[in-house]
Amino acid sequence: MKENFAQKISHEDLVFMKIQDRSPLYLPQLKSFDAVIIEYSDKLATEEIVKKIRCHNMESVYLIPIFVYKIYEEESGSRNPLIDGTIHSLNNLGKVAEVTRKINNKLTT
Amino acid sequence: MTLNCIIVDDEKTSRVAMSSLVDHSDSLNLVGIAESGEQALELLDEKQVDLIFLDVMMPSMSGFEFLDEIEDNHNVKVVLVTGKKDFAVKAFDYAISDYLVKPVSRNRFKESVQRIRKSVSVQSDSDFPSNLLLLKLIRFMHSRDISFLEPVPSRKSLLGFSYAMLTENLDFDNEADALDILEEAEKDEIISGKFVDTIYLCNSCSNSYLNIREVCPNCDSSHLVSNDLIHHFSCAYMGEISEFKAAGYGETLICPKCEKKLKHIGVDYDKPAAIFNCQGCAHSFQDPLIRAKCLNCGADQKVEHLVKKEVKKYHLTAKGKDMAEGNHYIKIRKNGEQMPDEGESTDYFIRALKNEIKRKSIAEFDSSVGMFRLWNISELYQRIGNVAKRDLQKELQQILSNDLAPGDEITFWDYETILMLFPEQRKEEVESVMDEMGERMKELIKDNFDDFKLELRMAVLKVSEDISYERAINELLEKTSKSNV
Repeated sequence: MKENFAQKISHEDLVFMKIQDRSPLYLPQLKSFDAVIIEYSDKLATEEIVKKIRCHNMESVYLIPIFVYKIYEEESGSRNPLIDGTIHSLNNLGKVAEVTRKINNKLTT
Repeated sequence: MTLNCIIVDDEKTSRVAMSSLVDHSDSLNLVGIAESGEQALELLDEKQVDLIFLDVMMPSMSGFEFLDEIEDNHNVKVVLVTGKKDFAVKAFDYAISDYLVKPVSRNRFKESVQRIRKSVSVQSDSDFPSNLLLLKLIRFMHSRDISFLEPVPSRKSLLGFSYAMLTENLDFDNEADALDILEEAEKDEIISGKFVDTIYLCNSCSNSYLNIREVCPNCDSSHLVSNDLIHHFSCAYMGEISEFKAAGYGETLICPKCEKKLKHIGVDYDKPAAIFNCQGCAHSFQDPLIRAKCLNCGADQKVEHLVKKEVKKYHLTAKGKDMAEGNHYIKIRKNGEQMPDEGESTDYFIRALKNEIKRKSIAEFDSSVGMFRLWNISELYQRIGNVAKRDLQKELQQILSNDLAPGDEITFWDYETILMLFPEQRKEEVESVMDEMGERMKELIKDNFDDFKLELRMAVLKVSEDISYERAINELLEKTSKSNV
């Protein structure tokens, strides 16, 4: 596996991968996670990594729930329709878990 | 159909032997060789791979572990290549396409490739790129409960709008395919659309970022200066505003004919029109042409030749939801680049002509083969762009087909040449039918492009057992380069 800067976060029965938007990422490893949280530092870098995930040819990669972790809210205009939510803290992942479960349930039914 | 394949084997001798077999196959294109499962995963991530020749016994990641990693990549076929026969049952669980035992014989390899090609061509409809993209889209919409897929205005998009999951999965130059895919999916009732806006696209590259401006009808220059035309009621003099300004002072207008001061617009004068002066050729005119210059490919076209498209927002229908849940296969076909009747039908035409030549040697009847050459059509194609070109060709084929009898054959030999086979019809009869067809084609072109006159040439040849199909076609090509309708 390529070296990466991913961090594994467990929440109840779910496992999320947290990555930085500028870090290299080996996409097939996403399939072992329930969702991915991208730590935002730059708009273009975040857009680029989201696009790479959604353009992958493995379903468990391109359909994975994506959340963007932004410490500060920015006035950045319209929401990216390819992401499933934005969070401002990693202390409470309840909302992320809820959305992830909803998506994953839809995909397994 | 050529399949992109990779070889995954930790043993060098096996890799060399397999790549030699692949090199000798016309159906395969070797896009990579991996020494381990990990390397193969990277290759899969980087390349478009249709087929994997996979060794089972590898040190760090076995062939089966590799298969676990790619379990939901349904687009790739796998052939296990191993020194042992013991894995056959387990291989069956993984639904692999074939199982080859080393050393692999040339015949067994050939047989395996043929079998896979056959299964790929059966699946080719569902694996067609538009279908895969549509599947991605509807799975995404369904899993997110997206009520409407909205077109998002985007300066970075070729169309000026982007559709989530579709636009990102297409190269910039092919983004217009998104509209075709959505249109086909709507026709198939997979999604349902609601009008949002109308867009006009370059007829050459489908770009929406256009510079629309007035140009001189004489020299096409956009370097124009416009002047209001003034009609002075009391002396009936009509001239450009610059003449009235020159005779006046400051903003005051004086009539150059009667030297009266113009006071109130609508009372003693009006401005009935504007006059354009071309700075390129000094031509003066009232009705400029409106042209659109594409800021992507540079094509400069009349606005009436732009491609008009509707932009809609879409929601999944019940059928679409069913497909998203995997209960039905998706089978749409996007309008391709090919000519209306290219490829298989040209081969079919040749087979039909060969059969007719054979038939002629055993039966007593006259059959004919005819050709139309649309000698100057490429000028028109260039002017109207690719999308309108395909539509025009479809229409031409349609009107010609209306005059054909059952059993007659027609094909576009190339973009300007149409070939027709008339079994059991005499040359004189066919000439008369083709004369009428020619008139209809000319009318169609005239009705749609009034400033273009089609130069049409035609020839008819009696099918003879003494002339091969190649010679017949060559003779027709030669004749249509000389004779005019």
